[in-house]
Amino acid sequence: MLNVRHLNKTYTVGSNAYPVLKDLSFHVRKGEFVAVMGPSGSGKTTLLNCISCFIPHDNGEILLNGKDISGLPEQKMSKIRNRHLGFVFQDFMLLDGLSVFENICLPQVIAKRPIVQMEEKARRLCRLFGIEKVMEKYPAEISGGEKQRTAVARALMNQPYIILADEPTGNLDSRSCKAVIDAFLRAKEEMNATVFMVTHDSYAASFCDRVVVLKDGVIHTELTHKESRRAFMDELLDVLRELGGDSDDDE
Amino acid sequence: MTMNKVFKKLRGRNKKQYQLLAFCIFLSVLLVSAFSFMYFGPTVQEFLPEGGDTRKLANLLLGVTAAGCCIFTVYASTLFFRQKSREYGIFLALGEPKKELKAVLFTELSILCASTSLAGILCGIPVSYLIWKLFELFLVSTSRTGYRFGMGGFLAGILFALLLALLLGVTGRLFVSRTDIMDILKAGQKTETVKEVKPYILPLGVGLIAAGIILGSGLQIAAAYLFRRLIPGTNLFYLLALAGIYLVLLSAVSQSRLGRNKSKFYKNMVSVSMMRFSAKSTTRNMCVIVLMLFSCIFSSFYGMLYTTTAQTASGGLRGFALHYPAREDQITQADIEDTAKKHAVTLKDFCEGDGANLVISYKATDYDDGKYIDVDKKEAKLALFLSCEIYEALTGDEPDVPAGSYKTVTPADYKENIWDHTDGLYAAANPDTGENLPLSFGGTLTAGSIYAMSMPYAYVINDGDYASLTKGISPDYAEHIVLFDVTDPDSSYDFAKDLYGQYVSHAGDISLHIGNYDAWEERLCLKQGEEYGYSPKPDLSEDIIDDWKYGPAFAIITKVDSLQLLSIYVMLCLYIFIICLSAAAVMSYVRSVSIAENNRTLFDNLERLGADVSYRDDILKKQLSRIFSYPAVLGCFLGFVFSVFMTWTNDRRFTADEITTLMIILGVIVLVLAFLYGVYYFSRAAARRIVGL
Ligand SMILES: Nc1ncnc2c1ncn2[C@@H]1O[C@H](COP(=O)(O)OP(=O)(O)OP(=O)(O)O)[C@@H](O)[C@H]1O
Ligand SMILES: [Mg+2]
Repeated sequence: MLNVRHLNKTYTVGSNAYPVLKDLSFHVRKGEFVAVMGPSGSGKTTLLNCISCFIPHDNGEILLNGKDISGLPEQKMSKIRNRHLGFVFQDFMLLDGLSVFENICLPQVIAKRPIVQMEEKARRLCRLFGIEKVMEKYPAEISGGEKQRTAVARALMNQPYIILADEPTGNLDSRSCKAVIDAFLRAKEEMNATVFMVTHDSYAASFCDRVVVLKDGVIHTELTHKESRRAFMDELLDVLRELGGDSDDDE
Repeated sequence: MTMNKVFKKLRGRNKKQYQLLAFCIFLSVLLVSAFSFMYFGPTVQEFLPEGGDTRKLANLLLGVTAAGCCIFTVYASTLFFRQKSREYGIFLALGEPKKELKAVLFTELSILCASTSLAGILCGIPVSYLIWKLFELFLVSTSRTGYRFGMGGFLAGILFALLLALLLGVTGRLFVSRTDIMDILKAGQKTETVKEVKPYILPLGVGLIAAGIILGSGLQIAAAYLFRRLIPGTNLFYLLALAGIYLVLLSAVSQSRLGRNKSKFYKNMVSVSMMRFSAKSTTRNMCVIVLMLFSCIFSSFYGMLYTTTAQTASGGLRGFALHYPAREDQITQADIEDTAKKHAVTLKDFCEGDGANLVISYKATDYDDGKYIDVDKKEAKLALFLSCEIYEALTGDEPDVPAGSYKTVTPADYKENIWDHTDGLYAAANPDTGENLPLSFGGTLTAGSIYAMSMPYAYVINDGDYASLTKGISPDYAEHIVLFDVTDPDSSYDFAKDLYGQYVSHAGDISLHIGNYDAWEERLCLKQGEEYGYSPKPDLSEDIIDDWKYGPAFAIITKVDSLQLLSIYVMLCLYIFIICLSAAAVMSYVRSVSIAENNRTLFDNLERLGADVSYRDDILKKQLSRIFSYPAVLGCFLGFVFSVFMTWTNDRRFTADEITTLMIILGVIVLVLAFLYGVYYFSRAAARRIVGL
């Protein structure tokens, strides 16, 4: 589904160049739930922003469903973001002036899709993620977990090829965190959604099928979820400890 | 790194916020002081009658302008404070004492206020001069209309700047005292609570507007004509209309219900959501813009009204009319002809004759004790009577009045007012012999020049009746009338001035009476031992003698002189027009920019959700166009309706002139709208830059 090949990204500040992503290659299959971990400053957010083309990369290829999406004109890129990419961010990025239901509808409103199906689908997603009770409320009136589940529902609205999530659980307590991870798992099971998630949280990462560990812009290791979740998590913690990173959590 | 350095660096980073506030202070002080420099200057002050309508209007509009300027500056300051709140919250959280922050804030504010106000006042001088000069290009300019600088303007400008500083200080104080770390940090973060607008707001608003207009103006008129009584304070009902405007705008700006038209709801969903946090303040802002535009249209209407009255004032029968006590040793026909020759003016339709002042008994309407009452004025005053023969000689019309009746002389196009009635007269008497003759109304005659010679009217009676009534009358009551025209009125100004001077120099004591003087009334008063109120004498040494019973009516002089006076009025109106319009433009601009600032993250988010440039642009456009179009349409519409209303209530009809005036007002409205469209275009470009389109 998502195929990244030989991706390079260098930030230039003044006359200094800081290489952040160095010849990065990996692959995410359809219906897979993949996490990216790594110490702070290893380039995770940069990677995600490159994939969504919010920032341009230097060279390399980003293939979404087999098509290279880098360097597209604004209009086409917007269309791809709207139809084929779903976003979930750490700071929620819900529009404060729209109710939960309206926020969820937003991607299809932007795409000017037929209303009846849109409302039907938004309601179904609300039910799926357990937020139908707060549907008419505004972001200021709901909890962090509910906000993030709203964001997940919104990301799924157009049935994207892939959901890109940057620390979706970063601002949440452990129970809300679990609710959001459950939401991703549901999306994967019921809608066969593909999820690519950056996280610091090894608990959250332990629910994934696969974890890519970044260090200084290159892939340090890749771990696959084989046995129990508990064992996978211990394995993750070991790798992170070895990296000397700042992974900040237990259950 | 000292604290001062930190503040300095932050100031550098937040230059935009300071610039906006500084610009608003500068502009308000500039507008108000430019107006006051002109308004309090001797040119305008000498022209405007003390306590007159125009002075009241100018004061009112100065007040509106000042209030409007205060509102948008304070509004800009709240934006400034809000943007500062996050910074301050962090300082407080890090343990910087509130006192220090307060000191820094108020020092910054005072410096900003003082310097920008000073700049505003100083720039006010050339600006008011330039605007004045601009108008002089279009209007009759003489030595009397030259720009003269008023020191009073300084005082007004400074007072206004102080008021503004005080208001900003109060807003700043409120901001600091409310500042509690948690509040501020939360406000800095984005999630705001939505205050939804209830669905009943729109009908309520429409109802209030209607009620306000009906009660405010309708009640007044209805009361005057039905109950013959004035109700004090009905003007306060207009406040209802204002509240109504607020509610209508509020619902228009921020309301959208998921009603029958779902696709429209979703199409407008995002742009409406932008207003959910600032609907109230935006609407207040828009109301002020509506008021500004209203004042704008209304002042141009007022200016037009003056211009057209200047033209209609000359609608008499003859261009030159004289009347004076027959005993007066006045200029003769020969004098007039000589003067005409001297000025190469050709006379035509020259004729003269005598009328008599008789005591009249008549019915009229009076206003007493808050009530209109019918009064029977028996043998109350004098009025001018002409015999049919003389009337025909003077005017060329054959009046044909049967014995025992009279005809009332009116100007062309006459509409009765509430006080006097053309058929009110029922008897006339000889003031010396007491000979009384009952008379009945026989219709009206049209001769503006003669109408103007007597109050309430001049009357024409049958030759026989005239002879019997004037038998034995003393020559004191006889009045000599001279009417003529010239072949080319427009080049007769010098002739008219010369003649006027001769007439004045011939005027003796018996001609020296003010307009309301009535010999009979004086006699009655003195008999009762009371003092007579209209005995003061007019001052003939003045250039234009306003209030003179026997003043010559020379249309050309009235026209030219009043045109100069009017040009002052018109200039004042135009000035107010410009100030109001620019205030409205600035306020709309500030609003647009702040909306863009407040919604920067929203546009970011939309980009991430895949809304392309044209979609985002569309949303911005929808929002901004609403901010411009609603107040523009509403303000112009109300201004126009009010103008129509004023024209009608003046005399309960529309003359051709009035219709022309209203048409021109429509033209002005089109220009105003075009100008606002330009401002909209400009604001939209600025807003687009802010949200990164
Ligand atoms: N706009 C930028 N300009 C210059 N350098 C940048 C920019 N954004 C990020 N960097 C640098 O790139 C490196 C990677 O940043 P990135 O945000 O991708 O890290 P991250 O892995 O997401 O970290 P964290 O886990 O803390 O979020 C960092 O060293 C950062 O300083
Ligand atoms: Mg990051």
